[in-house]
Amino acid sequence: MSPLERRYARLLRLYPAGYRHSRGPELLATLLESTEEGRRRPSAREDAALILGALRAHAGHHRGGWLTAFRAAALMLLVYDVADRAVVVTSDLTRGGPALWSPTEFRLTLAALALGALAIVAALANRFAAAIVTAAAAFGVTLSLAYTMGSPVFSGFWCFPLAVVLLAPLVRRRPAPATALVRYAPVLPLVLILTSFFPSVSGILNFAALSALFLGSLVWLAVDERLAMAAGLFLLNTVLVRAALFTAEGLPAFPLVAADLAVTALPPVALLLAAGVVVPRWYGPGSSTRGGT
Amino acid sequence: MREPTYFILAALQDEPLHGYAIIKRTEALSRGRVKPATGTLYTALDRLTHEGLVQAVREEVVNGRARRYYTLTPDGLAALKAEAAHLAEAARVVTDRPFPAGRLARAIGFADRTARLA
Repeated sequence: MSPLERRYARLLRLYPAGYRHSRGPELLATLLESTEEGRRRPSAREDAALILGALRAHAGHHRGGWLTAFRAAALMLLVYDVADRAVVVTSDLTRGGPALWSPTEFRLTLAALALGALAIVAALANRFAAAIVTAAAAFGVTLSLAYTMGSPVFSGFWCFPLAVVLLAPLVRRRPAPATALVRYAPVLPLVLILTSFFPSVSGILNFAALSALFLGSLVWLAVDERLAMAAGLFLLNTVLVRAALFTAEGLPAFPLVAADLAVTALPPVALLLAAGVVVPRWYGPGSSTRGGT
Repeated sequence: MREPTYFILAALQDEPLHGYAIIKRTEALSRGRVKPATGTLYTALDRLTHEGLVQAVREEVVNGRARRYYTLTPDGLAALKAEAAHLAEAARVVTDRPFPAGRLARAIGFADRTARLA
């Protein structure tokens, strides 16, 4: 095996095993044929094409990517809310008893937490109707909790209802299974929750984590647009929370509200537009392709 | 349809070709504008196969190297022809103008002014 062949073989190891098994020898043959005589290393262009090709092969082909993204985004919202509450409950317990809340409030929080966890399990098992019912029940408990505590809005307030909205279309139309990075999207909100463990710098860490989620999904568009769809849908929560905060605390002057909401809405809207409009035009099955058949 | 896709499909319209032959033919047909890297070509072939526009027809081993031949499906040929018709129509908007209206009007105006001056 020549040094060039070894290098190509090493790059081909990035592809999924099944793909490598069926297409590896053919790909390697084409690579060797297309490399000009005397070259000892692959060109940078071929390196990049193989790495991107391998990532795309892992992501797989998908039509109706939105449904998979809906499922991933709903799970992200549920995980975010449940983990957030779990952290609050644990920190309260370790402080020695439910000092912050009355016993009723504590019970309601635990109930919402349990219902949210059930919704996650149901959504993971593709039991979407059950997930909708439990998430709606969890929101009902959240509402009564907000009523007893007199504090209507917190960062996870809209997670359950938003998840219900996203899960609704999946009851009738089953999403294609998530592959590659999209499969792990529901874990990403845990990074946001982790930032709360460092109270002195949690603001900066939270901002950094949100920026990383935004920029990472944007870069990942080159491989798989479903992550940007899911992240965009998940981040809509931030816009709803912001809007609800304004209504709860009283509205400042209109230009301020508009500017604030516009800045908050920029990341999710940019991700959803890029994933839904721009990328399909470039990579997806071209409309003229299908129109012609 | 993007230009690389168009030329990859066009490369397959006459006979089944294997990977390297597709690269060469795509480059020749596009007069050097499209020369897909191998990784890019196979990503495109996978996508086109998945969409039912291209299919693998046979495999063979030449000089110890594996080769798989690809060809257009009837759907692929239809899509290619539809795109070609679309491009030809777009080209005609510019090429089929024996009397470009603007230029003709300017020429008449110029002749009028010259006549008045004389």
